[in-house]
This record gives sequence, structure tokens and C-alpha cells, in this order.
Amino acid sequence: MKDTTDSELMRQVRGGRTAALATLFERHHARLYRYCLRMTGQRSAAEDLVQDTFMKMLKYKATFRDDSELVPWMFGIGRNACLAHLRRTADDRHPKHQQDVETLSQEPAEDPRDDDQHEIVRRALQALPVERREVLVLSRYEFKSYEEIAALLDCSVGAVKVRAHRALKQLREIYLDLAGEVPA
Amino acid sequence: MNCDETPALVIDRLKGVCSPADEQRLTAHLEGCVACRTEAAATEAIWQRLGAAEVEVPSARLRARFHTALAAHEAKASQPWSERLLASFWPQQPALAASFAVALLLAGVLAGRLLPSPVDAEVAALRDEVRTVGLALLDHQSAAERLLGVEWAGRTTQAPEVVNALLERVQYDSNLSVRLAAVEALRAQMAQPGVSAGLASALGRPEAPLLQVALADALLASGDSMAIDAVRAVLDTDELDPAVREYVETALMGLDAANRQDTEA
Repeated sequence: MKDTTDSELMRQVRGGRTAALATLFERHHARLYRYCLRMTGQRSAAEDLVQDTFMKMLKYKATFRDDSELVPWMFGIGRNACLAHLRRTADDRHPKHQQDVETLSQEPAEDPRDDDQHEIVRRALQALPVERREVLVLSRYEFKSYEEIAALLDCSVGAVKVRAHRALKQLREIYLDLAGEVPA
Repeated sequence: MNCDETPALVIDRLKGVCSPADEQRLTAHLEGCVACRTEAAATEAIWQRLGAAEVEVPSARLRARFHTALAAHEAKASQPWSERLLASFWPQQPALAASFAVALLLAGVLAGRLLPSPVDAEVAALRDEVRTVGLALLDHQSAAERLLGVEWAGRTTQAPEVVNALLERVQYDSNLSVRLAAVEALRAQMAQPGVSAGLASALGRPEAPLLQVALADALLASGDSMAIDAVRAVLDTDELDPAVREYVETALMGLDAANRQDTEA
């Protein structure tokens, strides 16, 4: 039997069957969590933001139109929640980030060098300005299509590509700096 | 093609969306341009490193919190389960309903006489113990435990210390879900002294728009004039979230319209 589509489930939520949101949560909360975690660098904040996003989906269900696609709509809400959180915590983000990097390194990899590299990549990502981190997170992990990212960020496809390239370049510089490597 | 076009095509290639024609152009350019080839290799290396980071999974606590919040939302939107249960077996005909009520009354009186008093004392002691455990849950370090505490508090008889503990959760809890659940639990206790004032004092804090909406909703639903005035006052706050402002304005307009209709009637 074919699974009910995301959009159909969200339309059911909009129509008053709030239980359908539980199915959407099961399908998408892990992906949304990873996005929030990469944006904030903090597990507890990422979980709060996922919870906040799903509750806002319930609150703003009327804004889900018949022709809306769930994932971009949901990410739009999640993105606003993330950006608001980052604005609120802008002053003390750095110390929290440091603390979180420590807590993120609980399960050692088979090769200790992998742990080091993962941690440096995470730290480098967190050191990027929010706008560049966002375009990189969206294009590297979340969306295959530039059109979707452009719609989410409200800019052109060309602008997404330029931003992604600049973000990658800056990430590389930060990574090399943190790793103590000499650029090629 | 020239070097300016390379970065975008390199990103396309890394994302796997490069067309065959562009792939061919890019390959040809990179073969002849050392600078672009070096840049493309470095870009690819950091792209791969980003992808190699292990996949994080959320804790089971997140699921529990979500389902608690969803249940709270549904409970608010629908009739209480106790009323539904009662309605399912309670006779519809007045004569039968009256007979049923008398039978229940007699059964209650009989059960009360049969129960020995030491058991009452034990039950009272047990209730005290449960209350102590419940209050401890409300103050627990873990948000999930505090949510359980709020759930217990919502179901139990509302002693003043339980109400105060819930108000403290609304005001100071670091976790939004706990705060929202505490507001829901207090909705049934709005007539108790200090509840409206406690919720109103939390309303002015702008850091959690969702909480402000829940607080405004609870205060307006109480029908208490001081509570409604407190909601009106929040509109004067400069840093009020636009969504909260819209919600409060709409709710107040609805309330005012309803009041006008009552006056005219």
C-alpha cells in the first residue's frame, strides 16, 4: 500500500486531524534535528528547535496551502526558529559551542584521526558566519536541488552557487588553520 | 569557458547535478588550467570532509517531549477523556440516568462504611508520599522528568504548593516544552489565588513567543478582567514578536466583539 504523502498528511493536520503530525514527526524530525544541530552546534538547542518547529507547524497549519510541499515549508519554519535562536545567543555562542564540541566527542571512531578530523570540521563549520554556514549546510546535507535552496533563502540559483563556493573556500581556510595544515 | 565559471561548475559536479556538456567543458578547462585544478581539488577535499562527519541522531527524549506536547494540544482542543468515558456508558434517558445515579450513590455510601479507617490513614500517607515525589519531579534536573512532574500535577488535586511549583516552571524553566505543559496544567486552576497574576507576569517576557501565545490564550480564556487587561498591556511592549502581536490582537478583537454582542442582547 502506498504511504500517504507528506503534503496529504499536513493537509489532514490543517483539517483538524492533529495526530497526523506524529507521522510527519517520525518521518522528518531526525533530518530537521541534524540541520538545527549543524546550525547551532548544540544538541539541546537543536532538540528544542525541532520541538518548537513542529509545534509551530501546528500553530501555523493554515498557512500550508494545497500546492505547498511539506519539506521546504517545514524547513522555512525551522530555519526561522534557528536564526532567531542564533540571534538571541549571539553574545555567548562561542563558549556554548566549545562546551558542545566536548560533548559531541563521546563515541570514539575506529581511527582516532577520524575523531580529530570530524571535530575540526565541526569547529570550522561553527566558526563560519551564519549566512555562509547556512548555505553550506543546506547544499551539502539537506537539499539536492539549488532551486529549493534558492526558494528557501529567497535568492537566485546563481547566488546560492556563489555563496556556497565562498562558504566552502572560507571553511577550507578555517579548517586548515584549525588543523595546523599549510594550504596547497 | 573561463576561470570565472569554474567554481559554480565544480559545486555542480560535487552535488552531482552537472550536465554532461558542462562536465566535459569543466574537465577540459581543468586539464589546461593549473590554478583552477588546484582550487577544484581543494574544494572537493573540504566537501568530502564535510560529508564524512558521522550522522547525529536525536535522543529518545525528543520524541517523548513531542508526543507530550502533541497530547497536551489535543487535550486542549477536545473534550477531557474522563467526560468522554462517562458519556460512553451513562444512560441517555433521564429516568435511567437518575436510577443509575442513585445506585452509584448507594454503592458509594456502602463502600465508605465498609472501608476501615486505618486504610484511610495509609491512603493519606501514600498520597503525601506521591505528592512529595511529584514535587521532586517538577524540580528534577532532566526536562523529561520535569515534564512527567507537570503531567502528574495536571492530574492531581491542586494543593497550593503544587500550583506554586507549576507557576515556577512557567516562569523559570529552561525548557520551553516544560513551560508550555505547565501553562496547560494551570488552565484548569485559573480560579485559584495567584494563578492569573503568575501567568500574567510571565507574559511580558519576550524570549519565547510560543509561550506568550499559550499564556495569552489561557489568560483570555479565564474571562477574568485583570487577566484580560494584562494581555492588553503586552501589546504595549516594543519587542513583542509580530506573530504574538497578531495573535493577541485577533483574540482581543474576537473577545470585544463577543462582549458587544452580549451587551446589545
